[in-house]
Amino acid sequence: MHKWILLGLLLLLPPNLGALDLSHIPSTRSNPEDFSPAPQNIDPLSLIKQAPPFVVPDRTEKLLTYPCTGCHTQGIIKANPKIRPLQMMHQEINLVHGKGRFWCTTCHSTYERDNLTSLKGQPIGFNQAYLLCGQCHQHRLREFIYGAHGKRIGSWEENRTLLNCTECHNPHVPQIKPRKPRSAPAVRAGLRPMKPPIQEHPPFWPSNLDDYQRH
Amino acid sequence: MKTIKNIGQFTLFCAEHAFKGGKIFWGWIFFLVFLASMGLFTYIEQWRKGMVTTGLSDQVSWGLYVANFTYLVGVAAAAVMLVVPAYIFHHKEAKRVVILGEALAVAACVMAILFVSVDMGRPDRIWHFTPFLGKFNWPSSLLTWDVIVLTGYLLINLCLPGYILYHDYYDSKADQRIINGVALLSMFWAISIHTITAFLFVSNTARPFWHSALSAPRFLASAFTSGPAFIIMTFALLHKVKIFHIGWNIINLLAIIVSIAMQINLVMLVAELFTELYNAGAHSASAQYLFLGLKGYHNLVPIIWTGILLNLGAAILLMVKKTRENHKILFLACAMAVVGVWIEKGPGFVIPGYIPTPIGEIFEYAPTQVEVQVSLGILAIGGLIFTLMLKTLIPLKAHELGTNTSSHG
Amino acid sequence: MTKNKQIQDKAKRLSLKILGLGAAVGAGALASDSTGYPATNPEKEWGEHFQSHYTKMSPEEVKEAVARLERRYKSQYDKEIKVATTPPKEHVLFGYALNITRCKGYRECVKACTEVNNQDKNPNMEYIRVLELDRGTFNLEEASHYYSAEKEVPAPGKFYLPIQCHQCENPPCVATCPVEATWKEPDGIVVVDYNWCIGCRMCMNACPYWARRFNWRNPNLPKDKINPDTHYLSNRPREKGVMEKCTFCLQRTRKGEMPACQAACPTGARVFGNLLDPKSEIRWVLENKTVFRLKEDLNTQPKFWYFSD
Repeated sequence: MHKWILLGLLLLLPPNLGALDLSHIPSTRSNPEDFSPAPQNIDPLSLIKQAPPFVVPDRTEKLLTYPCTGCHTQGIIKANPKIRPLQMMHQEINLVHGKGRFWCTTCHSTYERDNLTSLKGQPIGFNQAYLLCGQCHQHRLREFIYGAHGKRIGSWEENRTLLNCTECHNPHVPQIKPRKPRSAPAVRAGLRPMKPPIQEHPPFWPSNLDDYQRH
Repeated sequence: MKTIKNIGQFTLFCAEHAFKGGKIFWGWIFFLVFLASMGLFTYIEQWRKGMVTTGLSDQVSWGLYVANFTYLVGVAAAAVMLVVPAYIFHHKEAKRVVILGEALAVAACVMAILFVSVDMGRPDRIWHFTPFLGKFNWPSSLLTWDVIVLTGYLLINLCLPGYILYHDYYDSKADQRIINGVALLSMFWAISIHTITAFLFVSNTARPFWHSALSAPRFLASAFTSGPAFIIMTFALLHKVKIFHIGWNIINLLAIIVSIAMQINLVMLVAELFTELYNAGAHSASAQYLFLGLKGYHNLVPIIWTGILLNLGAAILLMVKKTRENHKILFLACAMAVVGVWIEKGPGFVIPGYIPTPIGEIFEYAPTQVEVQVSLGILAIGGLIFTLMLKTLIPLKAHELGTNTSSHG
Repeated sequence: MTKNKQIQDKAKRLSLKILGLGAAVGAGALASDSTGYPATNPEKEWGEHFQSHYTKMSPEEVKEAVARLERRYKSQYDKEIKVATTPPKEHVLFGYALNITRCKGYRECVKACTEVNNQDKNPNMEYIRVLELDRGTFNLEEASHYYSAEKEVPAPGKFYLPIQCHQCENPPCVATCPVEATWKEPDGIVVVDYNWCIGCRMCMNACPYWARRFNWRNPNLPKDKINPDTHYLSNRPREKGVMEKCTFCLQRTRKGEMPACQAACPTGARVFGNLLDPKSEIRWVLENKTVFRLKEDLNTQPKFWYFSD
């Protein structure tokens, strides 16, 4: 009799069979050989060659005063590499990037005015600003070209289009300022949001959780 | 052919007796019809406008309806406490009244099914359950198990007494093997309906308050408290109004069952309280909300402690032989147990599972007038079913027992 | 004579009973009291009531169902709404990673989501919940869900954790649905057939990420806020009493576009892509960054990861 009762009860247990079938779960991990360890201090250009190809939207179109040679033609307004308060033009630029280590010509080429410049003096186009930033922010650059930093736009499928660093970060003031968020969630129609408790009820029983939170 | 005619005659006899009664009976019927009608019309509002009419939300998505459902499944399961002594152990007095327990099971089953139905967002799509025509996600979904066991239990509790009464009515011999077989089946079935209803909650690993191995045993213990307690109250009333003599032997037997089940229930409550609150971590937030209040929100705290105190009081009154055998106090203790278990297994179990949500939001729930009215309506429908079944069954039983009935009354 | 009287008496009693029952029903109806919400039920063709499960319909039946829906939407919203049935792409399994260092709690994703997915408006139904947590803790119960839109974010000492459907590989919501109204598509997205859901809310109980939303009423969807570019399994307008959820913008992603939340994120915290493509960005993140998943202990195997710089 007892045996039968036990057996009957066991038969009543409903298994969640869906949870047992694990065969359909594909592995998201590759073979260790498939990817190389993070390269250290590697030349940005060779790093980019290893990564899946990408394009960035044209930046120069969006620059109001581009081409710079519109004014900075050799002989008319000469580049002045001296660090000084700006008098006539570009007064809106408040250079906080680099904590005082930089001056315009650190990044903007003194001689090829429509280009940026690497620390070594090689010209870098405005559309390749990420190469310039990547000189110092190497880890960011690596994450950028592999898609972990910055933002991909358009399709997830092919033709990787990445937003250039300068689309989000103002290169002169790269830190993004706090701002107000979009509206807070609502509760469903017909119900009122919870009011904050009028008075914190003293706990009937001191709990460890409370102690932890107090500290 | 003869059988069909006989069944027809039998049904007519039942129907005739179901609607015979005096002023009190008809007053009671009118009252229940009034409540049922109010529930029905309120439900039509809910059907037309959607469940926006309830107090439920994305945060607390089951409430009063499901609370009543879980409670009533327990009441239905409790009929087994009469079935086992009657059919398996051939307890003489239990045999006489077992049919009343089964009537209660039928009424409770119908109410439980109605409570699930009114909780559905699209009751018009109930046909999606049907195998072949629709899709029935068995055995993965616990709700499909619940559909099977509840309808099955309803059928068992309609067929077994029907079979016995039919043979009683025609003084023919019922096949004892069939009775024993079905009774044994109904025993397992009674345990399964409540276990599966508990698993409906337990299967949600995301909600630690429900996801406890103790949930199902606690459901059973509380069911075997509230069900027999309700049966005792009915028997006592029937006895009092001298409709039907119930031997006090069987009432005392049930009282002992209620007493033991309540004690087990309370022991498990203490075990649960200790486990949840000794090292109260994030997983015990719901229990903290229920018993102590969480971050200043404590809507359920007074309710659950009322329930616990009622249960505790009932346990003490039932444990002491002197008070248990005093019929007035027994009635009071049973009423306390019925209400106490409803609080504990109904709102006290369903609602805190949702507070806080799996991602930590506290959003409290209170039923709306719509929910209360629909619930009252369903309870009234259950009351009607139970009353009419009693009206049918008692004369049948009296017919069998003859004058023996009145001499005791 | 006496017999006549008896019959009269009986008839009187019977009529009294019937009258009484009628009065009880009537009084009940009066006491039922109506609530203030409007009932805005769309006119539907009969075929929609008897429509089969999406995966059970033949291609012709699906076409019919779509045409029926488009007709209904036209009359209901006075706007041409296109319902696509784009199938999943081969060898694609969608995955999402979110950089919690980058997320600043602007809730731009939340807003963009509500603009493309035709959810109930005013009050808005939202699929994404952004949690504000204290730095140094990771207790969701201490999180602020309703941080003010008037104060600037990121607030000092806080970090932000957006939560939406994690498109689990082992979804508990799918296992628990009694009528298979919700299932996992071959591209890994858990979808709902809004014409099959019975509204029992079992899936809502099962979800450990609180990612499912219920239509407590017929959604309030003003004509000018409808996105007419919809998919049968995703953002087509819903009705009362059915469940809905984030589908990683299936209507967009199956066409190769990014989900709206990724497209809207102003900080680039969101990385979306094909988990089966070893060259995809999501794969690079999973293989090179330190990632974690929420409630991994529940064995739901989400395809939504969090990482930090």
